[in-house]
Parts: sequence; structure tokens; C-alpha cells
Amino acid sequence: MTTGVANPAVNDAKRLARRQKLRIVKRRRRIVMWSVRLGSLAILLGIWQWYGSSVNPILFAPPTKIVHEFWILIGDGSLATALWQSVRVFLIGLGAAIIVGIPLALVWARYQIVDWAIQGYVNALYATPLVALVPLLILWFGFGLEAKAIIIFSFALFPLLINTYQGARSTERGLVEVAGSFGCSELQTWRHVIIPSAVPFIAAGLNLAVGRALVGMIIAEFYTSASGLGYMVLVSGNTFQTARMFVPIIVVMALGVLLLGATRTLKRKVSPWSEKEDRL
Amino acid sequence: MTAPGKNSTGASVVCRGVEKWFGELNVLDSVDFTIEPGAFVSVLGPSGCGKTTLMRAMGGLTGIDEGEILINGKPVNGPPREAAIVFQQFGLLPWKTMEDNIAFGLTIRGVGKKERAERVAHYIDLVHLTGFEKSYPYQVSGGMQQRAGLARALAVEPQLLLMDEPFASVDAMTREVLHDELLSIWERDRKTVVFITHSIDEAIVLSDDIFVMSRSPATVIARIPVEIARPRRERTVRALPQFSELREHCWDLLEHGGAQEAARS
Repeated sequence: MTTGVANPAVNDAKRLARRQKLRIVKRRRRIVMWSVRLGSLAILLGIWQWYGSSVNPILFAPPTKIVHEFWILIGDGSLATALWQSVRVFLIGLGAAIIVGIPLALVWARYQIVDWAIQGYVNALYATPLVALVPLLILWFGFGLEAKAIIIFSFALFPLLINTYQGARSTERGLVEVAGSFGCSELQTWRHVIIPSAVPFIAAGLNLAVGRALVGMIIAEFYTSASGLGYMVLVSGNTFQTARMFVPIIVVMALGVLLLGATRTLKRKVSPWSEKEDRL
Repeated sequence: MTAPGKNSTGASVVCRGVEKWFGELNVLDSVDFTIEPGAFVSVLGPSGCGKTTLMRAMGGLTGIDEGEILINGKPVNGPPREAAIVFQQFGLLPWKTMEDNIAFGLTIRGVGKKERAERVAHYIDLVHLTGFEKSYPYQVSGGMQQRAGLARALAVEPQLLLMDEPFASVDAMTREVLHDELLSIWERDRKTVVFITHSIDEAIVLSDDIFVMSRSPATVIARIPVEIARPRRERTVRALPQFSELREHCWDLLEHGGAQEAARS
């Protein structure tokens, strides 16, 4: 932070000592935090291990068995293959949603005619549980990679579309006026004011889109061709390999945590000003 | 009227029979005045009387329904190149650093990178923002934000500076400092300034002339010359006997204009 001017009257040594003290307090806090976290994890795993071993293995599996399955699936390369199949189709679908959704939303926000023409449909489709449309999409696009990408695309598109639209629409009028007063053309106003002001909304939309695209990915893999993590869940479940079923579930969970964390970090990075109110 | 210097860089402003309606509400009614190049004029009126609307019309941000506004003899039709506005809520772009905000008008007008950097550095120095070039507006105080707002307007080297209650949302102490800084900047290069305010004290301290406006539909009911020698500083101006006389005079006018609730500064 650059605010505040150094006061030469303050003793440098004193300030240094203070800083060191603060650092120690912070470190101690972090140690406590991680001890609690690891402790709670150990307790959770302990209970799981105890309970998982005491019931019918068709219904549940203890962590040790799941780890064992992990090793097998990593060893024969099937986990890596499934992960890559899933991630690839996920990235294609999400990427297409970004490439189509953001510009489309900007046009939508800019032209009143487009707004009148499409707003109703977009809102209706956003409200529709898209799972209901999956059989239809399969009918149209088959069972291949294409169909999966299109399912993921349709899941991810609407939050991006709606958030970008709202971001562009909620640009502060005063700032648009500032741009006008300095002689900004329409294009310059978009470049310097409206799009930057929509950026935090777009990042929030991306965060939502990632979550929905993951759901779309699993659903697509349940319903279409035999590949990916979703299929692995399905097959393990159908063949009562319960311990094995947990492997892709845990991988998808980790993928979700990772991607959502990444988009949240992205939001903070691209729009530090919008985080101001959130910070304490 | 204080006579402007021969080499004045200020624009002239003429309003003739200006009328403005918001739906069925008459906001401005037959506003007539002339501002000489290089004059510092305050438009003083009660809150909500339409003085901001008048400024927005001069800045080409809103149209008028009757009459005409001329800047250097040319009718205003969209934001005039000669003018720059300092906004009440600062109007800084939160995603740009202070220096990029100050450079904004220059970027828009296609000023080359090198000249832009030089001018920005000059105005940062002028408004005492050195050291905060890379800060974002949310990281600095309101007073500093308005300094950047002022520097941004000055950087395009306008002949007319339109200031819309620029110091209304900074604290009193900062306001006084900013008054003195504005005075010393203006006394150096005498651009034409139209300063919108609801503070009588502020109007007296800064201006050559005060246009007093009535309640809506607003019109200019008096033009009061402030014959206090320059260079001025707020504290010395406040100590003068003329200051309290002018203050009384303005209050009388505002009250007769139906402005019982006009805010004391």
C-alpha cells in the first residue's frame, strides 16, 4: 500500500521490532489454523475408516481401499486417460461458451433492439433445468465428443451471458458521462469504461459457469459415449465396485475446488477495486 | 468585472434565453449572462435549483429547450473541446491508476505517448500527487481523488474549466487547502472557470463574480462582483470586512430568491 507518508520521527528500530512481533503472532495463528484443519481431517478419515470397514463393501468403502484403487487406476493409466478425456471436453465446451457468451452479451447490452428480441428467451433458458434438454441434444448431436462439448457449452453459456450483460448494463452513468465530457467516441467509451466496469461481473459469471460446466460434464458423460470421469463413476457403480467409484468422484471434487479457486483468484486479480468492500 | 490579461487563455461563455424542461418541470428559465475570457465565476444557488443542470448544458452533456449557449462564439452542441469538467463525485475510473486517470483526456484525444507522459508528470506535480502515480483511486483519500479529477481536467489544457461542486464531498480542512491550491493554479494561467457551488463562503473566496440563482425554475437574479485583490488566500480573505459584507449581501439575495433553506457552508 502506498498510502501514508513515513514519519521520520518514528524510531526505525522500534518499528522493526514491532513488525517482527506481528510476524510471530501471524505465524502462531497459522500454526493453530493448520493444526485444527489437519485434526478435523484425521478425525473424519478415522470415522470413515472405522464405519467403512464395518458395512457391506457394496454400499461403502473405507479410505484405505479407495487409496488402493487410486494406485491401481493410476498404475494402469486409466485414471489419466479418463481425466484427460473429461478435461478436454470441459475446456472445449467452456471455451466456446466464453468466446460466444461474452461478445454476445455485450451486443445484447448495447442494442436495445437485441435486448427486446432475446431477453425473454435467455431468461427462460437460464431458468430451465438444462438437464431436461440433454436427451434432445443427444438426439441432435449424437453421442460423440461434439455432443458432450455442446452439453457443457449450454450449461456454461447462460451464467456468462447474463452476468456480462448485467455488468455492462450496470456501468455507473456518471462514468459514462465523464467519458463523454472528454470527447470519447462510442467505441472508446466501451473500451475505457463499460467493458472494464463489467469485468468483475464477467469474472463472477465465469465462476458460476465453471461450476455449471462441471455438472454438465458429468451429465454428458453419464448419457453419452463411454469416456471420462463420469463414465468411470457410472461403470464402477453399475458393477458394484464401490471403492473404485470414489476415485473419479474425488478427482472431480478436487477439479472443482481447483477451478473455482482459480476463478475466484482471477476475479481478485483482474478487479482489485471491486474487492474493496469485501475486505475487512 | 476583473479584466483578463491580454494573453489570456480563457474562453468566453454566453448564455442567451436558456430554458430547460425535465418533462413538465421547468428547471431553467431565461438564463442570460456573459462570462469574459479568463474570469472566475461562481454560480451560487440553493441545492436542487438547477445550477448543475446549467453546468451540464454548458459542458454539452445535456441539451437545452430554448435559447443558446455560446463558447468562444460557437453554439454548444455536444461536449466542446475547449471545456473540461471537474465532477462532484470525482468521476475517476476505478480500474485506472491515478496517472492513467489523469492521462485519460489526453489518451482519448490521441496525444502521443511521450507528450502525454510529460504533461501528466507536470500536472501530478502541480496538484501535489507525486508518489501516488501508481495508486488506484480506492487507495487514496477523497481529497486526493479530487486533485486527480482537477489534474485530469487541467491536463487537456482547456480554455474553460467547469467545476460542479468539486469540493462538496471532501472534509472541511482539505477543502480549504484545495481552495488555496486552486487559487494559485488559476491565478497563474487564468482559464475561464465556472464554479458551481451552494457555499457562499467558497464563492466569495474564489470568484471574480458570483451569479446568484433563484429557486426553480432557476434564473440568474444577481451578479455580484467580488472586488478583493489577488493573489488571494482563504484565511486572509475570510478576515476582510468585505467578506462579511458580501456574505450578508448574498444571504439577502438568496432569501429573497425564495431560498430559505440554502445551506450555509
